[in-house]
Amino acid sequence: MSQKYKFLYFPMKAVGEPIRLLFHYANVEFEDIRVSNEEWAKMKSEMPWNLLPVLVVDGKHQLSQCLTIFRYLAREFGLVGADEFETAKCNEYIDAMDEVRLDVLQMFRESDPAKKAAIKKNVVENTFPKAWPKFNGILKRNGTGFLVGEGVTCADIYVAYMVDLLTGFVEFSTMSDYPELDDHRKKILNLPGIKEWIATRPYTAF
Amino acid sequence: MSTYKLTYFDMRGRAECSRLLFTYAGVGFEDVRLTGDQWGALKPSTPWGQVPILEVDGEVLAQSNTIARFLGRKFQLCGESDWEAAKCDEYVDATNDLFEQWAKFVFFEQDPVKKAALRETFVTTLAPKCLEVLEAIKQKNGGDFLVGKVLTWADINIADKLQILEDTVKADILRDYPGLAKFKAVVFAVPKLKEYIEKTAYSYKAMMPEAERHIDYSE
Repeated sequence: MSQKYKFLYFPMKAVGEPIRLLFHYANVEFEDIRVSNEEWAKMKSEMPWNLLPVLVVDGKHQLSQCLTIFRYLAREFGLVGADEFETAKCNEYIDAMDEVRLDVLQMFRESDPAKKAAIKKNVVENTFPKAWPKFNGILKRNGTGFLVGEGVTCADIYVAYMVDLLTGFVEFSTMSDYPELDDHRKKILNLPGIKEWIATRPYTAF
Repeated sequence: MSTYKLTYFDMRGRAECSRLLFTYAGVGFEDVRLTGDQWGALKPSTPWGQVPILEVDGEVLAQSNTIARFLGRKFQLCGESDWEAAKCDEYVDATNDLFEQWAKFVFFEQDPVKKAALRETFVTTLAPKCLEVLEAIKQKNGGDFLVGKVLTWADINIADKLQILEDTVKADILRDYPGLAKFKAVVFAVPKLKEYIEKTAYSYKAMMPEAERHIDYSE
């Protein structure tokens, strides 16, 4: 029996892992296809935007763009809040976190060691200290332990995953300054489905 | 009926798509355009230190893409299924990537030599890669629009972006993409949008260097 969902990405976490986390949290089966460099060279021109990830549904419908796939599945799995405004708040927090991710990404795009170090310094001294209090404040004001509404949404999964991933890249040791955000990260990454997946998934550096 | 207040600078930029959506849907909104001083005063109270923000019955929503996507849903401009809504998102996301590159040479790079080099790469490689895919999507979808059979927020978002390219990068940038040129013309001929364009002298030309305004078809 072939899977309804096929998810194609490289053998890494990066921007594909949030989508995998959705499947595991929602307990929805999917084919987790990890594309090697050789395979990618052959299939690249067939992909709509010559990019991964791609989601294939029922063997024929293709969807591209990591956040589009993430939002689509979040809606399918009922993880977008209680109404359209809550969905929009989820999207807002995902967009804002993605800006943080792009700042950190510059570190990996820069090959000159001195410039790389300068970017890293900016991330530690500016990007994180500006962003984390905002997310921390949202959690405090919402007061439910979640970012939006009363329960888990896709925003919780995206934000917790990225806080964990991005602070790991720069050995950022002062998350204790943002206690609500730090607790949120631990809680979300320990949710059933997600916890087991994290414990058993193939190790990748990124 | 919700009340809407959209706050941004006095320019098109990241708010124009949302203004077009309100206009097309015929929904009233307060179109707040900040002066520099007003922005300085407001900034600390905005969620992310940025505009645009949208207030919906007093509740604040931030992030320009989120706002446009929300209005697309509210005004039923997301196609006719969740899958079509996702295709809207996909095309908007993909073209957003192109505009990150556009912003680099239009706004961020100050050195004239580097600016010219980035612009060259944009015109010869980055834009064609994106426009080719969009052209193919338009042709494959058939009809006038990018997704399904009805106008979506993605059509308005992307028509606006194509206008930015024509006005600020190269006036004949759509010369090799007849499907997209026609698509943009159809979107902007929709009565409410046509009226808005004429009334507001809709154009991004003020950002474009004088030299590029002349289209040379001599080859």
